[in-house]
Amino acid sequence: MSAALLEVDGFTGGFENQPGRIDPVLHGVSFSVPAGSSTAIVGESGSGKSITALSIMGLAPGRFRRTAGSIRYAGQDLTAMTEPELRSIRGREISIVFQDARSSLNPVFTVGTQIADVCRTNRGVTRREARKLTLEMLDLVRVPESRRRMDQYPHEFSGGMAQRAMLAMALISQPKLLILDEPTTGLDVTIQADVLDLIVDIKAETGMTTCLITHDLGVVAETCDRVVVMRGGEVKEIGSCEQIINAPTDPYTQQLVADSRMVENR
Amino acid sequence: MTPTKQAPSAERAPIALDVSSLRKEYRVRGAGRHVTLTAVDDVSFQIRPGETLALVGESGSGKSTIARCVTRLVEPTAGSVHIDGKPIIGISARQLSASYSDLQMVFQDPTSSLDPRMTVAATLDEPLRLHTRLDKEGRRARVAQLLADVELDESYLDRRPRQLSGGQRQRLSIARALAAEPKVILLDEPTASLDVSVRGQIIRLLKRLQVEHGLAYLFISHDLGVVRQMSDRVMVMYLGGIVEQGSTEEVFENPVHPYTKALLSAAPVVEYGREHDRLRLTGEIPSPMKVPAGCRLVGRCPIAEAACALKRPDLMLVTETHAVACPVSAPDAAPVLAVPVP
Amino acid sequence: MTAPTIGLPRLIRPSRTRLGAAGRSWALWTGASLLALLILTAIVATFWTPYPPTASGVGLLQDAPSLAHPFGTDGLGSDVLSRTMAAAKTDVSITVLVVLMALVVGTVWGSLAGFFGGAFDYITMRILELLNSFPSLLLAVLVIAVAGSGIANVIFVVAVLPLPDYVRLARAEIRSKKEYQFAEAARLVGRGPFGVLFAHLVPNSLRPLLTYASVNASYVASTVGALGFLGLGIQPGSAEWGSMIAQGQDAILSGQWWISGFPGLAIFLLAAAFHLISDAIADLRDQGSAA
Repeated sequence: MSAALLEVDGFTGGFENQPGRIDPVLHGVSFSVPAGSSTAIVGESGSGKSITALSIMGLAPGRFRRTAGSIRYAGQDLTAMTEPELRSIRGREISIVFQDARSSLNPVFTVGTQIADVCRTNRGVTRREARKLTLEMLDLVRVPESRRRMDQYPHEFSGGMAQRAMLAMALISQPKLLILDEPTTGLDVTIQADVLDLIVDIKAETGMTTCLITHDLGVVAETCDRVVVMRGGEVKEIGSCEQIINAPTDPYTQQLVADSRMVENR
Repeated sequence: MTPTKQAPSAERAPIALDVSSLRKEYRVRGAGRHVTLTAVDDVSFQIRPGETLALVGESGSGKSTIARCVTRLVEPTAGSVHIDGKPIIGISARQLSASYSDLQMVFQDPTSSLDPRMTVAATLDEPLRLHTRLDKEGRRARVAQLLADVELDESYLDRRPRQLSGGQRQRLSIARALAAEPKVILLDEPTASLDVSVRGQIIRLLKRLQVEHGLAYLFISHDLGVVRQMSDRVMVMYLGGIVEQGSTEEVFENPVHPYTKALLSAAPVVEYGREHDRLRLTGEIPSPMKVPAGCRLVGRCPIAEAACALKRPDLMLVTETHAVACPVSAPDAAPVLAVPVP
Repeated sequence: MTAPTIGLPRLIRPSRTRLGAAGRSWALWTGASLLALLILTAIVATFWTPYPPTASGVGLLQDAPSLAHPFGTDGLGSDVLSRTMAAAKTDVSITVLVVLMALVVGTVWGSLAGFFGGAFDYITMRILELLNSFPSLLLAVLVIAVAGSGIANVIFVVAVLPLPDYVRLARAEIRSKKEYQFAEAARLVGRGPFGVLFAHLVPNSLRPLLTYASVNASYVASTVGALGFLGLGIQPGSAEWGSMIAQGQDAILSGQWWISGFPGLAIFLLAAAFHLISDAIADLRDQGSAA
């Protein structure tokens, strides 16, 4: 595996719930995402996995304060960048897909329009080319009858289809790093399996790096090769997927794997 | 109060929950005209004391609607429900309120199903005041016992739901359900909103309580891992109808219906390098307003034949306790009206 | 049918200045102390005032504030301090009574309409529309002109005026909460519909209603005064702040400000007390679930 594309180093911070007082949520989080890998950040609620992912994108909520550490993408420190500099990376080099796809889409525009808009701002193509590109993207994420569906509104899309549309939007800029924040949580299992298959296939085709944020070790086992286990704002264990699942060393990871496997210890 | 008392069967334990031909239709106004949407289509099942029947399905399968019909939170269109031989449907509102001492439900999200203003003590006191004749002291003792039952510390008595963790809240709602000593508890995705570590604890708690109190559980879940751990029998639903039913062992080890196969093979498993042998269905679950006339899976099923689109298949027995609604998968099976309860 | 609550949020939160924790406790503290002071005055006035409030000629006519008469005397030589104190009885008790009546009746009515819906809800909404189509103060003047003045009529009129707002607010709160799962859970606990409504839904809907009630109280305090000023409220003989202002209005022009000034200040303080309290309540997070 080649050099790290993303390196989170000693990242520490908390929420400034009251002026001047910071309630810590992340304690020296360090891990790397090697180029070409599919890395998972696994944790339960309150583990700090989501705030870490949002910080990579510079999208952490306004009351979040970084107190120490850095996030380096391809050698550049994202935490030292200005908002315009960050914007040139966000959505181009790094894209993100969120959990609730349907609320991420604007209900008053057709799905095709919204994807085409991203095409035009991101690729600088004409309106006609954007529409053609939109169609290609919808085909890429296997939306059936893409020509008809691109003129539909978000409410006409099921949760699974909306997530595909969001994936299409995230892929337009041909990002090097795709962050997936609980992308299949809330979807039915058969739909979840389809979306995960799609992500694995697209990754294989494009060779992009993915970083999956999830609470579900089952999803990790099916899709990832590297795992970062987080709990209470700390990294508990980092390892290959095989090692984490088959031979976890950290007690918390061991418990997490056991709990997730319930069927076996019945 | 009980017009028809069922004679308890001679040698077997009586039926705790008996649901027969339950049907729920909604009239939906679509483009100016009324459309009838069948959310639950003639579903029958029975559960014995101390037994868990799991109801498995994806969104739109009607599994939650069944729970809401059984408790009459929504009124079923047709069918009957009996708890220990006593009817739940066709009785007055007052009688129904009294029946809730036998029939309880635990909701998916304890945060929204607990009154945010009521303390732990008040939450547990309420059913005791309504269903028992205990005096104040007696109720206080019972509340303490309920807390011990669900392994909640007595120091939580004066806390409100917001001051409890997710797992503690779910323990509290389980304690509330236990308060009136019910015979049947409907568990509507009781672990879906919880973290995995807490999920295991709640499952162990529910199993222990079941043994101690001889409870019959209707366990509604989309989480197949939990279902396998929790239940004695499984019923798989798709678009309002049962497609497969049998012992947990049979359904998980030897699924027959293509939908069951698809569902089981789609569930992610914590196992590295698992060989994928997925049975894929084409497309997505159709809108409940456009359910196919024949087999509900027509259009998505990889093994469908021409006849499937014409006639809705009946449940057919593949073993004595295992039934499936697919004549293509089980050509030699005999049709049955209801699967016998083991 | 959507709940017509447009316009209400403006009333509920008179000033959307976010008071910090310190500001909030300041507002609550000041408002509550002011109100307590006025209530105390009313209680004291029942037993004792410096001079008999209705007696004329206890001092000179229109005498400026002095040690003997701290608030001065009016055109009949009555002691203004005694009259202002005695009037607190009338104004504070009317205000509190009126708000309680409107709060209780409006909450029960609106909750029932919101919970049960159907014909009762339909009729409720039509009645509210009818009431709302009259300009409120004009309605008050008309009713008192027809039915005659007197405490009972004043209370009735001033309580009925804000009633539609209470009903609407309660109805909207209950409608939005009745599908909550804790309401369903309460049914399964064995509560009948009235139990679910009054033991679970109403207590969880009280905060906006109480906020509105304290806003409304400051409005009621000034309306009672206004009606008294117009001579439509309490009989001129008995002490009431509004009618006291009216009595002193000519004297202001010749420089005798105290006759109207002190009762005016009293009305202002009562209204301000409720306003401060409402601001504080509006800013509080849901108390029932806070630590």
